Amino acid sequence: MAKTQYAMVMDLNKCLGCQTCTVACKKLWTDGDGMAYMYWNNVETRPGKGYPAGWTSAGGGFAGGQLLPGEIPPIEKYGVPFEYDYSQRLFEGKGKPVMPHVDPSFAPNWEEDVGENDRGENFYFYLPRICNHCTHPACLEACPRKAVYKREEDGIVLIDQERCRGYRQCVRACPYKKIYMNEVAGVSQKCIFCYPRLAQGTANACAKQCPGRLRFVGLLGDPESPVHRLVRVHKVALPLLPGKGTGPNVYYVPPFNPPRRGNSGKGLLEDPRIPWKTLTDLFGPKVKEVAQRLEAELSTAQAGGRSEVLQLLIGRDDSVRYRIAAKTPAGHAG
Amino acid sequence: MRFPASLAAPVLLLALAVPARADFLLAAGKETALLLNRTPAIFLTDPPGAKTDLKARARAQIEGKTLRVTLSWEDPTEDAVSGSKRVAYGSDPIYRKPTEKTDRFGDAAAMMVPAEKGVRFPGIMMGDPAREVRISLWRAGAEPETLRGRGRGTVEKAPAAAGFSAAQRRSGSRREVAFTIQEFDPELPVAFAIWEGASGDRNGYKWYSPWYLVRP
Repeated sequence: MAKTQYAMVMDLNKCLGCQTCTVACKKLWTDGDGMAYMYWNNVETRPGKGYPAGWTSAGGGFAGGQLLPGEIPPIEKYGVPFEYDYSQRLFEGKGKPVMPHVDPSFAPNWEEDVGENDRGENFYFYLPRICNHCTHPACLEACPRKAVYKREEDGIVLIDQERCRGYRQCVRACPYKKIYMNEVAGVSQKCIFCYPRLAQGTANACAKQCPGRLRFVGLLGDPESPVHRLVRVHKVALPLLPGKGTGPNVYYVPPFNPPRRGNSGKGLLEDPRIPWKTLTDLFGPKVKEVAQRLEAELSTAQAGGRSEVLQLLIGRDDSVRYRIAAKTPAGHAG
Repeated sequence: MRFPASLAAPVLLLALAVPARADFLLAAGKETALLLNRTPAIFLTDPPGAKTDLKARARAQIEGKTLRVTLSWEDPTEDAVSGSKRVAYGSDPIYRKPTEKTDRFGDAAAMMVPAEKGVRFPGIMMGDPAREVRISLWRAGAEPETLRGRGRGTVEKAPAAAGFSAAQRRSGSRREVAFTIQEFDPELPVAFAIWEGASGDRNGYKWYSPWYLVRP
């Protein structure tokens, strides 16, 4: 276990599904050869298949303390990345429309805003996902070469690109399917929690670029950090699929669950639009307690009182949202 | 009859003192059918692996101090992980080759030798902490590599190890990988491993032989 642990909290009530985080990460880290299908950060619509399709039921994690390897998702579950023959179509006068080079049947964000329908009412929310930099990483446990390691100083989980031989035991073991094989380099690759940025005192690219200001970053054990206050003090953020036994360090403030339309006088918890099962399947049974806490905070604020939780979740500026351990050297900005 | 406990220590010492020798021989200039074992699945959920037993042959040649061993086996499928970085799509030079498969594994073969002479041969699984091995590895779609290891999980590149090379060619559906070692000490044994990409082989999922002594 690492001495200290960086963590991220994402407030799902503020996610716009704009994919700015996805693009920020993509341009910064996964724009190279063999990385086209990699989305170290992705935003998926829930309910939905997610990315890769069906990852929640692809196995992995621990059962009774024993490693439980799952599947290696085939490329079809990521969607075959497609390209366009621009030069032939646009510049050489062939007169044909620009079309994907394959007939796409799935892709990241393929099911955007589809969601589900419950008794005549549509519902969905966005779920941004990165590597969870778990306290007990199944990927680390599964790697026969010990190429996966967890940094003592901040708990960030990395893959030693020199030691990795592309066996993909980590891909099988990760219950979040957040490790990707680079076919060109012959090694597995994953989110690095922007550790070079953190070393310069700058928050992760996905967090820094988020227009919705929904991401909070800091050390989980630092009493002054927003993640400590949201997770440990106010207990309004929960990890994803906690039953997988890996101890994820990315936490989510679950979506405020509005009551169904035409629901006169009933509270959020009595007749929610998003069925509880949808939320408990993702965040575990504690999601109801968290919803009660959030509703109580909302009531306090609506009655003219002060809610530290809501003030924190508004995340007015960087100083509220991020508490990065390292100092920023002069001349280095995000 | 019960084994007397008082004999346990002397028997153990005797076992340690008697040098372990390879019982298997590769006669130079002659095709030898290799004895191959299959490593068991590591996890309960692992795939069962190859459906049929792999039959491989090895032919050793000694010229002066150079050992050349040609390993061959029936391999109708061509499986490689690494591809070229960019492939022109139409006439568009900016086209970047997309990932073809995320669950594909490559064919590979290796020949292993002890790094140095010793009373006992190194462990067959990439050596052991006391006895280092050198491994000449051929992998489909990648440059041949020379590795070193002192047991499972310890294998790493051995840039200083000179005189090892590997080359592959096809003979119909049969694959041949030729391993060459310059300055070969005939007292050292050799061992082989084959990975069938189509069966999901990688890492410890492989066919492996015992140590063989090469005889002129």
